[in-house]
Amino acid sequence: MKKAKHTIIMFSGLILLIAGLCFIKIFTEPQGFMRTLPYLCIGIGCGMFSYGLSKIINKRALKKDPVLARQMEIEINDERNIEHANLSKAKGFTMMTYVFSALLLVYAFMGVSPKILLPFVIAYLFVQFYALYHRLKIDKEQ
Amino acid sequence: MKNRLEEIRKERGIKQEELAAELEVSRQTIGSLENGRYNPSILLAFKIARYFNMSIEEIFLYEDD
Repeated sequence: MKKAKHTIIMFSGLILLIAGLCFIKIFTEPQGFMRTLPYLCIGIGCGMFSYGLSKIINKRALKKDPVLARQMEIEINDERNIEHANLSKAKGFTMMTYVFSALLLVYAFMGVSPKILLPFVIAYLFVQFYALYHRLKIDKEQ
Repeated sequence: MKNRLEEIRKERGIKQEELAAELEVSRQTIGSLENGRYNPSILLAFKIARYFNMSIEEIFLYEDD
């Protein structure tokens, strides 16, 4: 099952992509949700297809070259690389916090409908509380 | 933190690539360690010390700063 995971993802993506294209052809005058569904299918389908395909190609290339596979494994597990990746993520998160709050303020001043603004606020708070939860959890564990 | 890694490695005629492969880290990590730009985790410090059959203090020099 694990071996076929990427193949399943690739074919599911291809099916979604084809379905999206078919929806555009079939529904000439779409209403409501059907106006966005085909493009959603195409977008997600393309992403899944390319992800699955790249993983399969990558796996085959590494299978042929065990030295490269070992090197890749070392690069992935290298403590300095992990530290750099985590530091970059942390910096990205901090920047996202500022950008997101600025965007929320701009939307609020523009008088955007609460229907749009509220989910943004909830998402922002969710992310902040998620970070806080993990901080407390890690503090407790270590 | 300063260290004698480059000096010890060269003394023993080991290439950066070889040491990296033995310690299962990237060559860049060895380079950064030798330049003092990166401080290793305690696990890596132990691995390095064990590899050279030395104590951590003989390789890594603690500076109170």
